[in-house]
Amino acid sequence: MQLGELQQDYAAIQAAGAELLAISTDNAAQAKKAIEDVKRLAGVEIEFPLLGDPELKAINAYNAKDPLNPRIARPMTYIIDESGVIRWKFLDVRVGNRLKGDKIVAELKGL
Amino acid sequence: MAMRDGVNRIQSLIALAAILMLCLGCGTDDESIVEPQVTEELDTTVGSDTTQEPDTTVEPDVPPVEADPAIPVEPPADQAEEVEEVLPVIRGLVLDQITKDPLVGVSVKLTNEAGIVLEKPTANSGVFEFEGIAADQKLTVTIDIDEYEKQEFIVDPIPVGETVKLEVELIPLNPDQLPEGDGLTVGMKAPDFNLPDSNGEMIALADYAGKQKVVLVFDRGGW
Repeated sequence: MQLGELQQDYAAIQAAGAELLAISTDNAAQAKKAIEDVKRLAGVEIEFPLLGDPELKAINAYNAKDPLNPRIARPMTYIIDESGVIRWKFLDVRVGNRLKGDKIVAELKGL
Repeated sequence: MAMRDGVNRIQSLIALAAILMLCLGCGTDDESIVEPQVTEELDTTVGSDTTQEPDTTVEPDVPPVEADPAIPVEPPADQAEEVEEVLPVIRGLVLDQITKDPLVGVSVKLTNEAGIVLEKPTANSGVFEFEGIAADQKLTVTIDIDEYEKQEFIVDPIPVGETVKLEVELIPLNPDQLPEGDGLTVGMKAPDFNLPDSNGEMIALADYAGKQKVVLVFDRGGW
């Protein structure tokens, strides 16, 4: 998922009662630069938090380390409910199988 | 008032253990999943303030067909209408939320408003049953076993003669490990994290607990 695409569905995700958080190994400075790049290149303002996990703490805890490149996360998305339980998961297994934001919104509404 | 009556009733019945066993035995005649053994456990726990009552273990098994002198026996035809002395029953089943397997040996506790606790484990098929509960009292049910998240909920007061059925699915704390990079299992507790956003502000999953759902996206970075 591209940041810009996620931003397009951010309002709908919030309207469905959820916060959106993105995690990668990028540190805060790299995340800041990414936000600026998306704004400059795509004209989209990223409003949700980009969390930096350079030590792969959360990435390891969620078993989200890319087996082919252990320095970064493998794309995957979770929906976690108010009681902290994982209710839905999507693994971006192949490039052609990327998650769309409207799918997330539909899942949120179904919970 | 009704609750008090119920509690007192149970306690006085405990004192008259021999009669009580017959009473409860009568109540369970038509319940195929209940063993007399289970009924005995209930009695010992009910009397948490009279726990050193050894005579409950001396109770002989009550043959299911035996007539019960302590409770008037109705003609079988219209039994349901006239049995007023049968105290409420809570019956339930505890399952693993993911595999739906019955969970054996799970501690099930009932606590009434007066703080009196009944506790018993689930049997082989994951079932539990509490009989002879005082009527018309609010009960808290606590269900707990290692490796699963504890559950607690309230059961509204149960009128005399009624049975409440519960089905409880427990969330495993450490479900089977998925292959590396395949993430975590749906149904499991999401691990907490506390990470800086692009402004260096720390954000934890726990910040949203009890308030909002969280859509958590992991990505490759290099955004």
